[in-house]
Amino acid sequence: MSTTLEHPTTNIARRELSILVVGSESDPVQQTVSRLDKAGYTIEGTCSTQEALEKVRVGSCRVLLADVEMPETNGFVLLERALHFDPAVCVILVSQEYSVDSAIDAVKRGAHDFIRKPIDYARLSQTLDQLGERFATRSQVRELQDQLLSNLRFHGIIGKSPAMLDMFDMTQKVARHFTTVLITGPTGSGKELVARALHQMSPVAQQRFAVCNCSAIVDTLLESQLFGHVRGSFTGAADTRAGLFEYANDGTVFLDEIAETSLSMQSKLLRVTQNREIQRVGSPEVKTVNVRMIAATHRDLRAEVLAGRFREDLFYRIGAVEIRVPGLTERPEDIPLLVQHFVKKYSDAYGKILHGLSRRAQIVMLQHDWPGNVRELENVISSAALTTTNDFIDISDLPVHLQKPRARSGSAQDGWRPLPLEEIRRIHIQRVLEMCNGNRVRASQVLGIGRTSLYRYLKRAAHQRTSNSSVA
Amino acid sequence: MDWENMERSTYRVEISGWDSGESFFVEKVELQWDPDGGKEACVQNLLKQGSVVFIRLLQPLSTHHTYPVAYYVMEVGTRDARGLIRIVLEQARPRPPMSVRRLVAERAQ
Repeated sequence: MSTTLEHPTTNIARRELSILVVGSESDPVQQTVSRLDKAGYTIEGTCSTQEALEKVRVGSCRVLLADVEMPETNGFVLLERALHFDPAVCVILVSQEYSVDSAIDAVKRGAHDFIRKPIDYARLSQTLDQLGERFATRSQVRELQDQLLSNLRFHGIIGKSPAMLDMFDMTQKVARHFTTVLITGPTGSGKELVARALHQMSPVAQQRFAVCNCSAIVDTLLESQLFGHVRGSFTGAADTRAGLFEYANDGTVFLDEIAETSLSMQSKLLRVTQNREIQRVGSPEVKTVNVRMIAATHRDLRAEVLAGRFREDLFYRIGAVEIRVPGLTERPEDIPLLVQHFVKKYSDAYGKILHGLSRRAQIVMLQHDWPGNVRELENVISSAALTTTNDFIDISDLPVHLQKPRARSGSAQDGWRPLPLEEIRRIHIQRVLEMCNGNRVRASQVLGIGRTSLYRYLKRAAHQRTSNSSVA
Repeated sequence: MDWENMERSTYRVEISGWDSGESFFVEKVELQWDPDGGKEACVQNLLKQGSVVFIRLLQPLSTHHTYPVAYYVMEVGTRDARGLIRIVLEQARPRPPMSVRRLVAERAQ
């Protein structure tokens, strides 16, 4: 075999391709190591399958060149164990008893190639060089993906799906105007990030942005936090303090989980939105504030209004402009981007070199329902990054419940099937009427349609049932 | 610093993770931080000992975004009269890569 290398890039690819030769006899192993070493490959040899598997486990070889006929451990068993430790390792099996059937069988079981003894080094070099090129290309793709990720950020929010692009567009349009905004979306979908983006793009970006989580504090303390208090106004009020609205005057106040506030608190917030007025707890003095309010909730505020738990006048004040943040199931195409982002984040945070997820781990991530949305996805990557000892996160690094395959909701197993739109409408209206105990006025409000429209629909449906039964 | 006379600090936090039934949960709780570094909280969800949870500080007047920090659940108590379960937490440290662990083991020999 020629030791002259033609292309500088081939030299580099060969040096970066770490190969381990495994065989039962020392001389043939050393012969192979020597020949490939002269050709410029980074190569080691061993006669111990245990040592070979350990090297695969720690990621110190990308290619395993293994003899099938080994007394200690058969080459196919070594193949299976090596792939278990590192699904990305490329195993090339070498055998005296070569046949097309055995080669196909080896490939089906996960081997990269199956070659005969004595080794044709020209052919082997060709295979190894192709592998080297593939790894180099993948590395370039990862770098390009990192660059692309930075282009797909919108003020810290990541997404390229149509749902997210629509949301970015709406956020950009609304941000320019000093107006109250309501952000809705499921828990863990990133509502606070949207609020921050709104502030950053607003005319008051240089002013303060203050966050208050309304579900985090009891009502009495919340009032003090938001509006301030005077000394002695309640037990523990040792001094006079300004509240959040005064603190962020001329800026933005973000009220997260606004649906969790009491009706009494809501009436005070209404006063801020209507009259731009506040009063510190225990003080008769009315102060004027100029604050942009952004509110967020995971609840359906209209339903909360109907249930009597949220003031309708406050709802109309804060809900005039609504931005809806989609849940992860509405934008599954963003999952790989988010995974990439969090792998980098926790790779840096934990001081580890993590390149990404193995292919089978990626599949698991795409199949999961993500009830906890982006927060849950971040926690999964953080947890996996903590525990993994390799530079790729594999299935075994993921939380236990993700390691078990689960059917997605909407699959045949849970009774879903595609129905005509009219049938879906009929079933939904029926369910809402049942929920409202037959009260059509209430049902029309829940459905968001006029009372007359509902009466007309029900009349038409009853007429259709009558004509169907007369035909039958 | 007079450690003996330092009082416990209490922080309002968001705790998230997977409960004993492997369902994802999010709760807002009070985290107690002892002068000797021990951290505990009372939660509604039943957790498994050794599981990982994520704690995010909820700051009423915060101007900066806070990030979740991973903790191991070291102890899980029984449900009290309020329906809450006391848990003891310890911050999780990342496992070093296998190459580093091997190096450390070689040096120890």
